[in-house]
Amino acid sequence: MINPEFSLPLAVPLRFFRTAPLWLLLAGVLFLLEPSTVLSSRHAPEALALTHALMLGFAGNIMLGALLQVAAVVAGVRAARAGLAGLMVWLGLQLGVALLVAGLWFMQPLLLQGAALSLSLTLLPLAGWLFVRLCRSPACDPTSTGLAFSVLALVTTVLLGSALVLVLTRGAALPFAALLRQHVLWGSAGWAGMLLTSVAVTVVPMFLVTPPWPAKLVRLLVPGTFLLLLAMLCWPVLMPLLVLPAAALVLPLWRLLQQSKRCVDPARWLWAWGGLNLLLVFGLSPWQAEDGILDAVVLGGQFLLGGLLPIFTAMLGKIIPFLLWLDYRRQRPLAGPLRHMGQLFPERWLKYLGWLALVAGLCWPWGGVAATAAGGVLLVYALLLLGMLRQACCKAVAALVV
Amino acid sequence: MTITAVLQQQHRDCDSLLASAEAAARRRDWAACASVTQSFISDTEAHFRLEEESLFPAFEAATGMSGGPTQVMRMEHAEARSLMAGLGEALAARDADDFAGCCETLLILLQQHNLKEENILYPMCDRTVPDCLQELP
Ligand SMILES: [Fe+2]
Ligand SMILES: [Fe+2]
Repeated sequence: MINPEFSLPLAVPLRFFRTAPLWLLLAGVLFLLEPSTVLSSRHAPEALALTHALMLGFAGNIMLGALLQVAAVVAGVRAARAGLAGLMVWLGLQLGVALLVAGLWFMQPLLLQGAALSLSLTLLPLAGWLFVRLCRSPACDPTSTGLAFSVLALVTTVLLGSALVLVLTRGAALPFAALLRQHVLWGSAGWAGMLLTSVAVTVVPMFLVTPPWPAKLVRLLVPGTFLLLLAMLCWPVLMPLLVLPAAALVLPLWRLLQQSKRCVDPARWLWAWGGLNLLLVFGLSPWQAEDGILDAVVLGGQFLLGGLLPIFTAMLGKIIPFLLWLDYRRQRPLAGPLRHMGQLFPERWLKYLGWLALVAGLCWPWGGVAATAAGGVLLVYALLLLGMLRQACCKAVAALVV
Repeated sequence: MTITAVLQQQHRDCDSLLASAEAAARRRDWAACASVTQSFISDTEAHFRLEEESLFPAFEAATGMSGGPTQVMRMEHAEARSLMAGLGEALAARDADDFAGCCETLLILLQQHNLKEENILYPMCDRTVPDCLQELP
């Protein structure tokens, strides 16, 4: 019988979480440098660089940190030398994102190839290892199963991305537009969407004390999404069906949030607002148009600013202070100056971040000045989050020496 | 009923009590808060004792795994107990912010603890010591 390992060294997830806002900051600066170029076409090199700073640098760091943490807690999956392995993955990811963002911004083939190599060498072995360990874990709850599927989607996204780099830099004879569409689909609905769904199934009832999700639905949701994505590889016309998994996630989510026994928790509103945007984006994206609200840049930006950002805020505002507090408590088992996690990261901080995420998501879809303002808000959000994380970590360290 | 089903229900009942205590403290309804907190602490203590005195020893004896998962669970019980003491102190001081802070921390600690038990440890117990809880009075 296996001996499950439940705890990950705090440094492993924290390093990913603390790096994420730096990429957000860079994305905000890049956007404010070239707002009109970015807004004009998603195929502009600047827009591609920005997308990857956000999706891989900001969202990717948060999602990998969360994936490792959740896999340890939920499925007892942990590497033998978790600290070292976590550091290697972190280094590989940051190097890969930096090369990718620079390579896309300046359209430098060598940088792009380096990025593809670094990301493949980092993410593919990690995904393979996680997939095997998740399948072998005695846990068979929907979250553990869902994590395994989202890891497969991560592999697909990385492989498709590397193929795109080959087309761009070596002129490989592959259908560029089709590859690009699948890369976006597997990255957003696949890796991000399935990971978010798997995590939400567990953390929403946990943090907000709601009834559990409908059991059949959560068993089928992630595997169903995976099958749908596979079908879309062959028949892209099925894309409008993507609204189904989004609705199957968001409609029950809203009902659970209404039944939450912690109605004053600001995280409730962040989940509800994020869910609304995910549903809108997946509902509207099959009908993309050249401009206006159905423009690909608008929808892609809304996926991140309206959908992922509020939900990530809700999760980070709890997970980070909790992990810091737990680490402090393990080093000082008896009473000390830190009684609870609210002393490291007060609830009002979560409210400030929540308001900023709301404003960014409300401004972005209108384009022009409003969208540029959303970029400014994003910059403020990144700076604030960096400051808060720094302060929380400093407080935890200071409490240890008192 | 399996061990997983019985103990999972106890977890849910304790969660509800803790959420009610937090809501009462945020309303500054200290009388209600005191009585719900009392029920929460006594139910949680009873649950912890059931695990520490019956379930875990049976599991350890059956599998020979005494330094692994059950040790982590015992350590987390101790951390939860120190937060429950914090709840009592905040209640006595009528400090709503401190009470809510201890509540939220305790909630997350217990939730991630329960998850480990419900997903891994209880199913392992259901396989190795299925009748353990039926022998109880
Ligand atoms: Fe326990
Ligand atoms: Fe328990």
